[in-house]
Amino acid sequence: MTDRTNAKLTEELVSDNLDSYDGLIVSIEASEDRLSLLIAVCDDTNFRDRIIDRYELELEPAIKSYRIKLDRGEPSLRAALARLIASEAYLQNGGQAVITVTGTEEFYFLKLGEERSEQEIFFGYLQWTREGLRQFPYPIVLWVNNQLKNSIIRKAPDFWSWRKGVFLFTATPEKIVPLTYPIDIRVETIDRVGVLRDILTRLSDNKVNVRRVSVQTKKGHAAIIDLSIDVNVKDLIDVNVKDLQEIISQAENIEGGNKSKNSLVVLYEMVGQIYKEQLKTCEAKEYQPKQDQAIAYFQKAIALRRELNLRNGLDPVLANLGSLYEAQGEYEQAKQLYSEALDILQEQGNYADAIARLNDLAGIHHAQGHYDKAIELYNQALEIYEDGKDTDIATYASTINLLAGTYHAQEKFVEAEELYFKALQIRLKEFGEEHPDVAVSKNNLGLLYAELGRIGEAKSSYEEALYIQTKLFGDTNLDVATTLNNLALVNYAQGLFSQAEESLEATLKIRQKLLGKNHPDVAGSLNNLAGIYKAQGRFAEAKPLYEEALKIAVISLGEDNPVTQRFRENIDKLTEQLSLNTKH
Amino acid sequence: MSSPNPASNQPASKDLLASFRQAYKNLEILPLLKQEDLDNFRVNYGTEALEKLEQQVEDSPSGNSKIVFAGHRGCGKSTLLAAFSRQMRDRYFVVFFSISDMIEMSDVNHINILFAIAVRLMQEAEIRKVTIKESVKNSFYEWFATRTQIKTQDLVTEGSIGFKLFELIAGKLKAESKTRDEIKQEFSRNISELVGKINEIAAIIQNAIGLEILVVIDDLDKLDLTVAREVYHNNIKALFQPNFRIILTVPIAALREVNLAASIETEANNRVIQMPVSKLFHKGERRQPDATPLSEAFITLKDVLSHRIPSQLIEQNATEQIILYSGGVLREVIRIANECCRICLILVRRNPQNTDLKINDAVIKEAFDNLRIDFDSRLGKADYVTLETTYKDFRPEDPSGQRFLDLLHGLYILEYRNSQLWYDVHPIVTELITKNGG
Repeated sequence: MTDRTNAKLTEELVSDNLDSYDGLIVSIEASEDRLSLLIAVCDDTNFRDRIIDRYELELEPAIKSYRIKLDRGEPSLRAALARLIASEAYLQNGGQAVITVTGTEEFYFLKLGEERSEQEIFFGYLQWTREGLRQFPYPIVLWVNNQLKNSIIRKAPDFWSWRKGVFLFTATPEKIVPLTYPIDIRVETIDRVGVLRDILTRLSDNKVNVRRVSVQTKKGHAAIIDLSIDVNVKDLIDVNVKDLQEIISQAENIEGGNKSKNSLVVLYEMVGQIYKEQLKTCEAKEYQPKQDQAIAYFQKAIALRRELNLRNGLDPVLANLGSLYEAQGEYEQAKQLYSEALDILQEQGNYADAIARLNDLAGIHHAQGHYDKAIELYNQALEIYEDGKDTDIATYASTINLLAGTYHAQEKFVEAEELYFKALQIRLKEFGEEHPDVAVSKNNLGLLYAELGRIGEAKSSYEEALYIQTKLFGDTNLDVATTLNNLALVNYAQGLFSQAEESLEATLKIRQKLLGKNHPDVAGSLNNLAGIYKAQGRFAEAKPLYEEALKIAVISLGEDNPVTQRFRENIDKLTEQLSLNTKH
Repeated sequence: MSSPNPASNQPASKDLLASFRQAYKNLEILPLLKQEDLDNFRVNYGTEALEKLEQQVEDSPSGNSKIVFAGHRGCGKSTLLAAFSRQMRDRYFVVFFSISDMIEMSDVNHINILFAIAVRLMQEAEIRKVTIKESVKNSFYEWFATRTQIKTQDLVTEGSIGFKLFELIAGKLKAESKTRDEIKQEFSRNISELVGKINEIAAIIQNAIGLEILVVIDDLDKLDLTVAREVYHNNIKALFQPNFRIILTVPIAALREVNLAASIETEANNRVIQMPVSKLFHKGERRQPDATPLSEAFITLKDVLSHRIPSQLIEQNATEQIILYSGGVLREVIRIANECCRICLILVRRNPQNTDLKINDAVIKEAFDNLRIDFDSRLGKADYVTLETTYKDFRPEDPSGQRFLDLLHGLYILEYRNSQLWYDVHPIVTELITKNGG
């Protein structure tokens, strides 16, 4: 162990962690010649490894240290210990030792089509190996995370009841590394050197990292500058936005002809883009103002581009603004913007982006219930690929999947299933089993099956999707939350309330963690969880959750939003129910 | 108690660290199975259950009764059964084993339990060198060898083939799901052949040694309820077919299920013995200020502690607190005392100069806090509702509800019985309810 990690650990081992550490050490020291099951709990594997290093160092040489990592294929603690001892003469001769066991955090909790999940197999072994463990007269430190600890208590209660001690370690959160969002900007300019230098200087003054710059020139045409920059999110963004806005107001006041106006376009688009990105993670009360800001800046950029006749590079701005209107439910304006973008792209022969806009347009028609129009547009997009004008098979599969979704909404289940399946087949062939798109396909199939009442298939589809998503993203990811939510709804429909409750609680936690406490999706989760409580007659528990959901929806979506109205209806129904109950 | 007491042999004043370490070691959470441990630590408890067991074993007109034994987790069943097995040795050919020593995973079923009985009977006969005629013995070996598809030729050179064979079968049974599947396949439609063979073995041993057979199977109470249902409901007749005495443990939850309990009681001919948690108080008395605990249970548990912690290391009042807060559950006494020792060991570690450390009120308080946090970290809102109801009414709204059963198994809720069954909340958990505004 290096001095630096040692110093870091000393810093971390304070108060409760120190008590746990000392408790663990004295328990190991006092367990000579005895089997002693010591359960250590930590969610942070790096911190855990530092603790292990530290106690092993401290216990040497009197107590020799061994480590084993459990095998996911055969997660038997007893078998792993037996193997270790068979290979170590020191242990066979009864030397004093501590055996540290890790690897449990890698076990999946999902079944993935098997009869039992890896975690369940592990619990099964634990439950049954206590007697078998008696032949190992050593302190055994079994490291688990909190999720696993709680599951062991329920799923391997006998093993749990033989624990000689439980030691909880909580890692102090690392300093937050600023997250950055990449932004791509395109600007067309006559005076390319001047504009580029201007932009780069301003960006570096504002500590914005420029990842990539490329300049395309064509004889007789304006130059196109493509910029890829990284913008910090959250708090840091606000600083940058303010700086940028200051620069904008300076630039707006300068009479500098097209040169400074060109850079103004870039600045408008940057600020619009930043606000749009912030929407992904901002608090509910900031949602609408930020959305308005983003719209305002994109509008300015578009207006200025029209004024300067900068048609190249206009389409992404139109698409950006279109998506903001779409999110607001301003479908007609969004359609107009997407259509204009589509015209530009077709003129330029940019088929890849044309497909994206066709899909956007189709999406709006779908949302408006104009399913036939949506199907027509999706088919246009598919044709581009089928005619060989675009070669991106990932997008092709996505379009098929979207088309399936429209058939699904039309309740043309046969077509929908066929197309969902086709998309899945393509994705499996192209990307293999473990790809986010494969998970999306499985999730969609799950939705379809659930609707058709094919509950078993729905569940296994969701579980397969979850497996992929957790493997790829860990268990704090928004897609994981979505799938968990869907799985919960199936369980709910089956009356498996406690399972549904568990998944919904997990969904809520993920969303709160990633989106903040006041995001519309958090409200959705609260609403669903309240529904589960209500279904179980736990009205008193349901009420505050419904109220919280409504509160968030009012702030983030506005009073008139259909979602907000639905939440309000839910509260009214519950109140009615409660008053009925008290009357009886 | 006249048994030697290693704890009190440790001079506490000379080396506090060593004394607390020894005490910590003595506070073994696992059941006392080894003779040495029994000699050192065993106290007389569960007399009533022991007497009932003995009576049921003795009072078996055709010598083939099946006795079902159940009890709360951690109340001392395994230690008691081990002690009982030793006690009956002079009168019976006793075979005592834990099912988890025989079959590794949760695929326990009636067939491999029966098979395990056969294997353990033969193993025990080998170990005790029971004289059985060569030809008879060989026919058994041959039978087992073909059934488990082990070639006897491979084993001949190893000397005593019988013992090796059974070690091998036991090993396979434990580790290889394939072997278990084969056995299940082989016998699922022809259970009477297996039972017939078991009876033959038993008869031969009984004749050779002049003692009747008594098989004691522990840890069947650890089965999942679904597995227990399969064993004790759907296949209980087959399981109970062998014509000698068998004591089997069952999960306490199995006796809560009306159907399951009915089939167990019928087939066992009402020979169901439940080992209760020691009642420290009469129902409701714990709530009263200055309530005096029932002396018998209290003295037993005090005896348990005095065998494991030398009196120099613990204040009198602390001993009493530990017992009162255990709710009468043996293993909880050990667990709390264990936590106290750990706290003292930490204190010694942090201040090696300290020479007069004892488990006192402050240590006890910290131990309770630690254990309470441990309990609390697993409780949800709805659990509190169940706990509160149980605390108030001495029973939950739904005694067969999953949430309640989980709490019961987790020792949050303890079950007591005299003429009637009643429940109470674990004393350490009780303070959680009051803290949560119950």
